Amino acid sequence: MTLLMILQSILLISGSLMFLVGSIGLVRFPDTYTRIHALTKADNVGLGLIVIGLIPASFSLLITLKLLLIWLLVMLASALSGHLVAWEARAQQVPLASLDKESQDESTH
Amino acid sequence: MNLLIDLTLLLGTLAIALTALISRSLFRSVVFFILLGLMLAIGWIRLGAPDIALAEAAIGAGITGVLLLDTLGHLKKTGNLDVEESSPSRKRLVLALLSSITLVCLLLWAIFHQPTPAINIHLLVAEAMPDSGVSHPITAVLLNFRSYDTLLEVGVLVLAVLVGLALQTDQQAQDSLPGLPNPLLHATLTLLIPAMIITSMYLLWAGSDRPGGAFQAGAMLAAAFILLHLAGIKLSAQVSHRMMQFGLLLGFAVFLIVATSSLLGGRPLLAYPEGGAGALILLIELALTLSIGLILLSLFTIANSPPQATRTGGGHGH
Repeated sequence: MTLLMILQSILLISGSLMFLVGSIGLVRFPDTYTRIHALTKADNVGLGLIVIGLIPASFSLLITLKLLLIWLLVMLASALSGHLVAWEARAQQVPLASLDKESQDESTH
Repeated sequence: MNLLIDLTLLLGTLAIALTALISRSLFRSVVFFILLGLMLAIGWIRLGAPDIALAEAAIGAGITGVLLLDTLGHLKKTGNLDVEESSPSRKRLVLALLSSITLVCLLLWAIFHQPTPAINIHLLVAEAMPDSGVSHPITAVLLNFRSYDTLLEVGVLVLAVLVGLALQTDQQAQDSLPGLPNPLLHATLTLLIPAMIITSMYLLWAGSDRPGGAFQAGAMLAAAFILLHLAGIKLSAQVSHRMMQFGLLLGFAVFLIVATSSLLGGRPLLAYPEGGAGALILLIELALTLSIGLILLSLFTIANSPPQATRTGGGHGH
């Protein structure tokens, strides 16, 4: 029982940390594309860890399936919205952030 | 621990509300307003009112958010976004501050001096539950005990969409949104739309014994419709104009017919017959769900078409 609880805590805390990392990425990364990268990846893993951590809390097949379905739907929605934001940013020619002159030249092509 | 969560929620909601109000950028205000809707939904859940939380998340954050973002897009397109608003004068600020503080004080006074109710409404509801035809108290109140209020609410919605339709002239039936020609969006929609329709029907069905019901299901349906609309699949083009009007009025009409048909049997308005309440409530809710979905979609698409014929010429330059 205690082992399960420790495992659960690890999963929940690391899931929350993933969300934190994603949020820091959203604030700190220089351009739209990298921000999408930080947000979608970290949040999907974070939510996945939290969902897996929540399953043993009150185990029932129905709740487990619902939680997994929520995770699946959120992944689908975040992948789609991430893609759409990037697609629209590309259409509006939002520039890539550049660290030096070379990548600046590359981004204009 | 729970107190900590509640305090964080409270302070967060306040901070988000203030940011939405104070922010100079309209886009930021809108985003924070949507966030405020989500925070309020979580707040309602903490207060043990999942019905209101569902409605707040679906309508307050979802549909209103889409409407606001869409308006913002239009303002940007017509170049009206950058109109500099004059900052409010000191007098006005003081007046606003004074009135809000007075309101807060009044509300606090009202909370701390609650009179003991003469009748215990929740006990009355609990007593009458077996006769209501459903087993969820909120649905019983909304569609049986106080169904008169709900009928009028639906009437207000229908009136709103009728006014919107009246302001729209025939030639602007085509709205200005081109729809996103994105292949991935269309592929995902084939997965998402059936899931959304199933969820909507689930919410409707769940309403009889759990949180859920026609308004939440209708908002879900409207979200699916709006998603389709934004992807460029116009429902109004697939369904004839007359069918659309029929759908808009269906919920109100069914509700009204059920309400008045009880007069024929010599019962008062909206009194369901013995034993038939459950089936009638489900019938009303089914019609309401479809109508609310279509009404919310129509409010969205009406807002999308240019309001005046004169605006179509010069308005859409970049």
